[in-house]
Amino acid sequence: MVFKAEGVGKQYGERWIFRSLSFQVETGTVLALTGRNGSGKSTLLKCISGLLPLTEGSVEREEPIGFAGLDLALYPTLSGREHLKLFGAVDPDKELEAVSLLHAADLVTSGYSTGMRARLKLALALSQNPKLLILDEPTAALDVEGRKIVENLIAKHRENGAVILATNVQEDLGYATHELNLG
Amino acid sequence: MPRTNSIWAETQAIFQKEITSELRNSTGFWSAALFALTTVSAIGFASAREKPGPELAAGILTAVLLFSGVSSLPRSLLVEDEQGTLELLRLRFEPESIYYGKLLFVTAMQFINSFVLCMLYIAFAGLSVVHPGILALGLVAESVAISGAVVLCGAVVMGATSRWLLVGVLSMPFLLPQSAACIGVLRYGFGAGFSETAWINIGSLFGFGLLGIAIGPPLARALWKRP
Repeated sequence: MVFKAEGVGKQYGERWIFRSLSFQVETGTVLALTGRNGSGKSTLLKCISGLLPLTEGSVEREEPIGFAGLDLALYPTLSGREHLKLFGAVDPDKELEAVSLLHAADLVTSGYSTGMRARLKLALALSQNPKLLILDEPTAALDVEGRKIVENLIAKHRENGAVILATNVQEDLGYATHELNLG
Repeated sequence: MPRTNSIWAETQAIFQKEITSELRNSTGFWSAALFALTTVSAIGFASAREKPGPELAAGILTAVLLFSGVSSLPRSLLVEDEQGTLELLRLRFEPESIYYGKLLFVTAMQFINSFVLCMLYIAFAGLSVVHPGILALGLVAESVAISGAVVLCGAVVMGATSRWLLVGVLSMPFLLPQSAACIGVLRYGFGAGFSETAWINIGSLFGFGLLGIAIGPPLARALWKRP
């Protein structure tokens, strides 16, 4: 078991974003969280990764995790390679090459496009050699080539780990093994 | 791929990141430098005809050091909050490492700031330094103490709406006794007071610094640990 959630819920003020969710993820699983905007997909991913506290319930997960969030910020004055070094990557260039970003290795991220940032976040997540990869809208800002890269990396990762991703992109559901609709 | 798991290795990584960021966008450094230069120039002009005595000189220098520190040092922590990069750090580093990395960087910045400010002040005000060793040690102790207070309070106010104001207000109870101790040391450095008092004050300043080192990590764990 790579990840297990039991009766998890998150409340903001009076409003429950999600409540009483229980599920578990095994090696080889790609779980797609779907649902309309505001259904709590991103919030659930942040709770799963521990960046947000749960209001109720508990989670068990194998550390380290790899997390690439849509609204995860990067340091504008650091380059892609420096980000990976900060994250302890042994071979930053290899990680950058895996997401086709080696050409921009020394460029500071304030000069990156949205798609390049998304790729770098994916490289940072993978650099942790995680058992569980958590991705928030991983292909939302990507072109066709970028989507293919994500698909290949997910396929490779699930051989020894698991993936939980939030998406509204129909193509992403093609490589999901399970789907959890949040409404 | 292995992770560098020791707190020291992680602290070094954060420190290195702070240095690189500061060298590329040295807003904090330049705001402190501008404040320092303006203040010591003003004091220099004001006291052109009459040199301040050791007591007054120590008081003025302490106030300048304190305010330049409080105005520039919280930036290191609060900017993480504002640009949203704290989450990135929390994903990779232990809370203690984030705290110690920031503290190390802020202490180094404050020491450079204090040293430069003190030299400028001595030159502009035409002061004589009677005990340079004690003065230098006092500046080190003062840097450790101010940094400890500011980083501790910075960690507490992260996420608050008026964080820039709050950090100053919250650090005042720490900084006021520190100011008294700092004045005691600097006064002796400029030739007034007793060596015993100066040593006690140096000890007090280091004590305040140790308080930040001791209280900070459990506080950081409580605030930033991923549940």
